[in-house]
Parts: sequence; structure tokens; C-alpha cells
Amino acid sequence: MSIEVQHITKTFGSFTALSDVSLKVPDGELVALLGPSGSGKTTLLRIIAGLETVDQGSQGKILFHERDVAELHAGQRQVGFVFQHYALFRHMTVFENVAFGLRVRPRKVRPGREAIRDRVAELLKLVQLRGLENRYPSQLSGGQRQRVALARALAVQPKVLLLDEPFGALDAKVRLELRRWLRKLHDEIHVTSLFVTHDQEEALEVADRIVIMNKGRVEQEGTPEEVFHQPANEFVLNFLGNVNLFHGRVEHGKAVFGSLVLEQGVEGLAGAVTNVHGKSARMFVRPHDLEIHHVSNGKAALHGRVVRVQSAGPQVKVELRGEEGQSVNVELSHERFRELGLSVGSEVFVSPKQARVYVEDYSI
Amino acid sequence: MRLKQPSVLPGFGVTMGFTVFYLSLIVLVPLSSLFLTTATGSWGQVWATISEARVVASYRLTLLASLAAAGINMVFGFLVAWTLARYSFPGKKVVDAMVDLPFALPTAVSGIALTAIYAPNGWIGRWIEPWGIRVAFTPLGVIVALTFIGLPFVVRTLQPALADLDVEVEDAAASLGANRWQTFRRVILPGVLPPLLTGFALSLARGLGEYGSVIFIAGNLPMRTEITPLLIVVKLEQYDYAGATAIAVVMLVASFVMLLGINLLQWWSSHRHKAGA
Repeated sequence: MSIEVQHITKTFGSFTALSDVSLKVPDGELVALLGPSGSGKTTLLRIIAGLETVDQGSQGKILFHERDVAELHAGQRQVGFVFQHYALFRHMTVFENVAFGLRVRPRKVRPGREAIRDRVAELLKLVQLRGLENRYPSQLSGGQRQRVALARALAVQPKVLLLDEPFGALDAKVRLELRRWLRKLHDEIHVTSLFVTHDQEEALEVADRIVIMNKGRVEQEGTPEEVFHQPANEFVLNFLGNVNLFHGRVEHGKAVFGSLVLEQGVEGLAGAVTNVHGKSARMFVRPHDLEIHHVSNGKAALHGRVVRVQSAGPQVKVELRGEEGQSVNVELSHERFRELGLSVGSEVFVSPKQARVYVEDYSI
Repeated sequence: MRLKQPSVLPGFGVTMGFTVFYLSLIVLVPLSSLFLTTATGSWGQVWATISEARVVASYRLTLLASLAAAGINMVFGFLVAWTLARYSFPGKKVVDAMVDLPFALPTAVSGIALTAIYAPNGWIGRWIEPWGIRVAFTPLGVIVALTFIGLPFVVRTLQPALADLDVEVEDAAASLGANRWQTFRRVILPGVLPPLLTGFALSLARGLGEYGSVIFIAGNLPMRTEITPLLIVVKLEQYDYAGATAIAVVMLVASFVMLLGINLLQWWSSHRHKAGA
């Protein structure tokens, strides 16, 4: 079942949590709502679930499979909700937690004892928690608790699964395992899912599509490849991974950042620097898009000195101090690092393989 | 069984020693003197005193009225605590302070105030009298006084527990299709059962021992509205120390057994979901 949100506005007192947000989650997809804390993503999720109301008098609409659900109570929306801090019922066993949604159904549509037992067993098998039926939540690890929460949400056969920072409270390793597992699970059961996260890596890895939010607005929507390689604006670029920022200005059709002078031809630069002489410019380069050389090879380059080398990890991270004192982060492979024989104090040149330049608005 | 768990934090010996000494000094010694004084009378005398019809009627009233009052407080005290813990509204601090008034007032003052209100010509008594409801000078009056006295116990024990409740758990229940009543019955109530039982126990204990606020509104009609503490005072005024202490011992044992029972119940309800941990 698809989810569609149209023109949702929500304020808390004088704080605007969401302003005119619209988005669509296609049937059967796993979509990530990505944004920094306070961007309104959790509020949006809670509104979709019916746990929060939209502002009175706003024109907002929430459609499940083209049907307006605004008037439906949370329990009638057939939504499975997974909370960041699990929100398990502490005084109930794993079995009772998972069975809860079935046991509170009106007598007429409540499954029988046997049916409930079978359904719970099936779900616990799905979330790989068989044999833990009689444990209490306090006796489980964080990852296990979150899987119980997921089984509990799936028990009512929701048309839509909403997950609010589902891995936020877990430690790094469990988090990695669990998000891969979630992806696999989604490929098995294909329930339309929307999950909130502030972790770009998580979103890029797991989701079919990503919606990036900031300050109550949607900044960009697209596949992980789209948002990563074609960021719509500086915020998205900045938010999706580390990036170096250089301040400079446009002079005679060239972007000048200290000794680094860029002409036409660099990605993101085309068309941007003509006819805007004297404007200030900002250049963003990802650490892995910077090259290090010992000698100037004729390419546009910045001069810098190595101040820190961190080689534990899949890539070597090198921090440079540029000629104007700015810090530049570079990531390179171990092979290249050995070739260069870099150490703290080395004098080097760095040049961008790919860069995005934004020129100050005309309107300013 | 080892009494002392090895621990890097010192203090078990000292604190345990002090606890035993202090409880002996403050609680055990005075109470054991009760038993000693009682023992000065012969068994026959003691039995005659404690099984006298008028005394037995007073046990009944004291016990039933205390239970009723504690029960009423459990329900309405829950509502008050819920409101105070969950919502903020203008004047909340004042309401919050008002809850403590029954603690602070001299009991005789509350007794007189309640009697003035519920007497047949009082503010409330005047209006309910035509409906055939009499509060002052009836067992109902005893219940009213004990409810008044016991309310803060329930509210004050529940309030922090309710404030600690995770609201997300209620959201979870709602999104799973539970209605408000089911959420309350199955999710909220089990979570606050231990403090609720504590509040009930405290309110009950207070009711069993209450004297000052009850004797005015009860009217103290023999066999009908006499509470046990009153009979003890009456005996004392007649210099019948052995008789007074004999009744007191009955009260003491009954109270102790009830409180112990509630404590066990409470222990059971709070350890149930940690079994086998």
C-alpha cells in the first residue's frame, strides 16, 4: 500500500516542526527519512501513524493507497510502528508482547488461542527469536528487544511499517547487522516501509529511496545514487558524508581558491562562474575526491603540509594544513599512501578530481 | 545463606547494625511493652475483654471502614495523581500542595471540619439528608473521615511512578489497536501496581490507627459507630490499662498481618516480570 503525504504543516507553539511537506512512498518500497535532529522527520512519521495530529485548518492530507486516513484513529490505520527505544511492555513476556495486537482485537475478529500461538511462533521465527517466548524484555539485549518490537508491529499484519530511528539506541556493530537484516526482511515480506534515521550511511545502504529533510522541509528526494551523486543543494551535499569546504571568489570567469584556480570543466563548475566577476564562491570536495602529489604536476593544486595521518581503517585519512591555515581532509588508498611515503610534516600538493562550486546568489 | 554480599562499597555492617538498634528503640521496645502489660492480666480476663460484643463490633467497623476508605482512595487518588503527573494547568502547584493538607492538619481540626459540613444542618449534609443519606454519626461518616486522611498516601506514592511511565508505550498500544481502556488495563495499570499497592497499604494502615478525625464525625454510638482506637482511649480513661493494651495487641497483630500480606503481594507483583533474571 502506498503512502502519500500532501502539504502537511505542524507547529508546536511557536516552533514549526513541519512546513508544507509532501512526499510519496511507493507500494512495497523501503524509504528512508533522513535528516539532522530537529528536522521534523519523527514528527512526520508520528503524523502518518496517527500518533500526532496536523495543525487545525491546514490543508494537509495523508493518503494510504489513495484513501484519506486523516479521520482514522491510530489503531484503525493498520500501521506497524517501531520506536527508537523499543517501547516494549515491560511486564509482559516476549510472547505476550508480540500477541498484544491480536489479543486486544474485538471478540468478533480476535483469532483463537491456537491461531495466536501459531502466529506468534511464526513471527518469532521470522525475527530469529525462537525459544525466547518466556523471557521478559529486561532479559534481552538491545538488538533482541528491537526485533521483538518489530515482531509485535508485524503481528497485526500492518499495511505500512513505520520505524522511528530503529537502530538509534544500539551499538555500532549490532546496528550494522540489524540494518542489513532489516533489508533482507523487507525483501521477503515487501511491506511498504518508511524509516527515520539521522545516519546517512544507514539510509544510503538500506533504502530504495531517500527523503532528505531539514528544518521541517524536504530538501531532496531520490534514490541513494541520485542524492549522493547529484545533491540538490549545499545542505544535502554537506549532510551526505564528509566534505571539505573552500572559500574563494570568482575572477574573470575562473574560480579562485588561494593558489587553486579552477577553469571550466570541473563538475558543478560549468556555467556557474561566467559573468559573475567578483562574487564569492564556495567549493565542496569530498575527501576521496582529492589527490595528493609531491610535486606540482601542472594541474590546479593547493599547497599544504601533512599534520595528521590516520591509517587504521579501509582508507588512509590524511589531514593537511593549507597555505591559508585551513584544514583539508583527504582519503586515499593504502597503496597510494605507501607510494607517496607520506608522514607528518610532508609538504604536498592537493588537487580535486571532482568538485562542486556554488557561487553567491545574484540576489544578495 | 550468606547475609553479607561481598562488595567494594563499605557500610553494610554499620548501617544494618544501626537499623536494628534504631528499630528496636523506636518500634520494638514500646510495642513489646504492650504485650508485657497485657500479660499482667489473666488469659480469661484478656479474652473476655477482647471478645466483648461492643469491642468486636468496633473491630469490624475499623477494619471495614479502613478497607473501604483505602479502596476509594486507590481509585480517586489514582485520578488525582494521574492529573498531577500528566498535565500542566494553571494553579497546579496549589492543587499539588492541597493534596498534602490532610497530612498537615491536626486530625481534630479535620474531624471538626468534616462534622460541620456533613452534619444534618451542614453545607453538604443539608442537601443529602432529604435523599435519605446520612453521613455524620453513621459508619459512612467514618469512611468519609478515613478517605480524607488517607488520600495523600496514595497520591504521593503513585505520582512519581506515573511521571516515570513511558508515554511511548501507550503510543505503541494505540497503534496496535488497543483502545484507551485496554491500554489502561493491560499496559498502564500493571506498570504502577506496586506503588498503587503501597499507597493502598499506607492508606489502610493510617485508617486502622486513626482517632482524632473520626471521633467527631462518628458520634461514637456503642455497637454502631465506635472505632477500636476510641475504645482503647475509653479503657485508659477508666484506668483499665490491661484492658486497653489487650485491645491494642489485637489491633497490632491484625495490622501487622495485613501489612505483611500487602507487602508480599507487592513484592510478588514487582518481581513477577523479573523472574529468572
